[in-house]
Amino acid sequence: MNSKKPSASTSVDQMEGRHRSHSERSRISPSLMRLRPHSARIDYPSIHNKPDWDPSRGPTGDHTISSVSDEESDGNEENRPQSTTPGLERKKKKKNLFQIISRDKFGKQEDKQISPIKGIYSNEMAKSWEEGMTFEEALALPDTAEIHSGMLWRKKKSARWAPGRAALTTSKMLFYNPKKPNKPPKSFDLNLANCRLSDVKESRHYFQLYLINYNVSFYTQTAIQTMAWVEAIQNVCNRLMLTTIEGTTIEGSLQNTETEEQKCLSALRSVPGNSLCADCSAMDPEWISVNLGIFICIQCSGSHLSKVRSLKLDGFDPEHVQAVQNIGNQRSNLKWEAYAASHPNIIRPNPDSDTDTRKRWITAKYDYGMFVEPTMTNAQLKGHVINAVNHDKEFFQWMAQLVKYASHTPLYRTRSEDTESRSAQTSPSTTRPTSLSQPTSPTPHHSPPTRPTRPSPPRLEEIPTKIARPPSPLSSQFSVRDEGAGVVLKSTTVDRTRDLIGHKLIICALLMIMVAMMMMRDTESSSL
Amino acid sequence: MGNLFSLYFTKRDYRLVVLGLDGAGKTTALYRLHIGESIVTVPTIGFNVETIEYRNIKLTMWDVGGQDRIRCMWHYYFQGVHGIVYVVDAADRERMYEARDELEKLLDTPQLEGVPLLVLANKMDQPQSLSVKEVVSELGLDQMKWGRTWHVEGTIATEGKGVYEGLDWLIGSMKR
Repeated sequence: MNSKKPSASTSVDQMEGRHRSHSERSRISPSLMRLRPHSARIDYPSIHNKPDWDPSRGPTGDHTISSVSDEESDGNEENRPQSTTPGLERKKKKKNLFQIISRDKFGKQEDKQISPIKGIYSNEMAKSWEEGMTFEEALALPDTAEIHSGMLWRKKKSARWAPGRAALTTSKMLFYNPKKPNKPPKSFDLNLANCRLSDVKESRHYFQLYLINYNVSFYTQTAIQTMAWVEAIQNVCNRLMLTTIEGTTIEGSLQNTETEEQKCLSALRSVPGNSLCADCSAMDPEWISVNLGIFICIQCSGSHLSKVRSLKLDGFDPEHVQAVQNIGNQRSNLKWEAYAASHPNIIRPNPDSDTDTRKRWITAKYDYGMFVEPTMTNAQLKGHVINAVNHDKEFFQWMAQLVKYASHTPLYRTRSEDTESRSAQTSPSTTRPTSLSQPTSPTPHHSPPTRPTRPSPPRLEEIPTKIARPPSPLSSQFSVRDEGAGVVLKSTTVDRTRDLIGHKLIICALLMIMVAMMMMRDTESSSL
Repeated sequence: MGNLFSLYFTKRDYRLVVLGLDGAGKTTALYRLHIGESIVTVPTIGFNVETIEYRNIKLTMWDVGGQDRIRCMWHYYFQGVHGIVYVVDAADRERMYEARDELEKLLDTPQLEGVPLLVLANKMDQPQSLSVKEVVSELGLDQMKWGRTWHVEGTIATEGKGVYEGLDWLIGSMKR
């Protein structure tokens, strides 16, 4: 039995080999036949119809073709326009996306790689996005529809950049490899992903796609394209994120049930006054400052130093509901905005205001109590303002920026003396807010930036070309942050050099070990 | 030799996840590290992600929102994480127990086994804030049974104090 088995297997092998050789012969037969001119003519009679084909030069032409590798010769066959059916021709066109096939006068084929940007896809590049389709409309398309598409370069794992067409659907980003059009495109799931602009180098505008497990880098050649891509991807990601949040909260059945407190608070929101943000009057505020007892919008909630909770995403205690019930937006604004009209410099934000305006208003309103009734300021807000002075250094920084923006050196000194004297006072509560809004002397050198809103810039001739940082106590107080950054920077550079030295040492040590091992081997061989 | 060079001179990639209760200062800390300035943030619904290049290392930091209901999304971001940054509001004594509960839940996840933990005790500039020692005992880190390295750093994220020191420790322990 044992002796038989190998023989049987060998016979099978032989059979297979024969089959293989036969199939090979049949496969390569056209090219073999083309070596002989007459047989080639029999196989491809249409060759004669070619205008640039010289029959007298046939053998040479055949010779050049035969020297081409097997794959290319396949390409030859398919690219003969007369010999192929229209369907096959179309297929072939699809296959060679970025190749232009030209024929020189000897009938030899040349594959030219052209820049993909000029290739077939350039027509498709300005597709749906530029056609005036809004994002909402695009999202209404079926799942496979492309919201955005265009030419991109993608960084592969081998650190090379591969060009190709990319398309964005409502849940994925697809990347088509132009060299392998039959392969399914590489797809990146955009759920829980995000996208950021990274940097610009040599007319390459990079952006990065952060996926859950890894990051992918892309670049385009214009800033506009990159911006369009980032915007589109971020839109898709945000949409997916919101649906995921809803999905997870629905899945967690315990969390989905609205608590009693939340029900109360949603009912309280319909009370007149509470349906608008207490600071910017945006519709339907969903965030609550639990210690101020007011409803605010998400944009304003970022600037609040108070304890802010979300109506939908956070839990509440009964005392929070009590606070909102007792205070509410109307009553709160009656107190905190009583004298807002007397400070026309601080603009009340509207729903479209930027964060700076909001921050300024909210800091002035709550942390400094600038619009509160003066009698109240003395008695009740003293402690509050002292607290605010203690731990709100941002206001100082902001003031410093204003000072820097509006004026030059002499002003710093006056301001610094001013603040010094003020800080020496025992009750800064009343003096500070009032001094902020006081009109000051209109002398040119002391043009004061005391208005908390950005003041009108000083006259041109007054602005020095380079604002020198004066060595006043105020500036030293405000440049703490800069100094800190400098120190950090220094320490990082030191660390980096240390790291590099460390690497060099390691490499040197490795080299030494290698040399030593080689010497050891030499000595061993010589001793043997 | 080229491989050797690329091995030693390319920037290493680390993935960090920044977690904590809402309003602790996660986003402020992230942007403090990213752009070196304090910005006015808005409560994060979803997440922020930024790449930070620091000490020849590339850090991808995921800052996930800390609202009560979106804390269940944290586990999506645990895959392949090299380090955890847990931000605590040291001035909010009432919610310390909540922070402790969330931290314990977090550290029990099998995906995060052995991953170094950096706790940033934020808002140290507030007069009522706890000291670093108090934060350690409040969070129960000194009684921790899990085999992981941890470190608590007192920070003021708006001024950038302590944030880099904490990151230095984390990088050192991730390299090991």
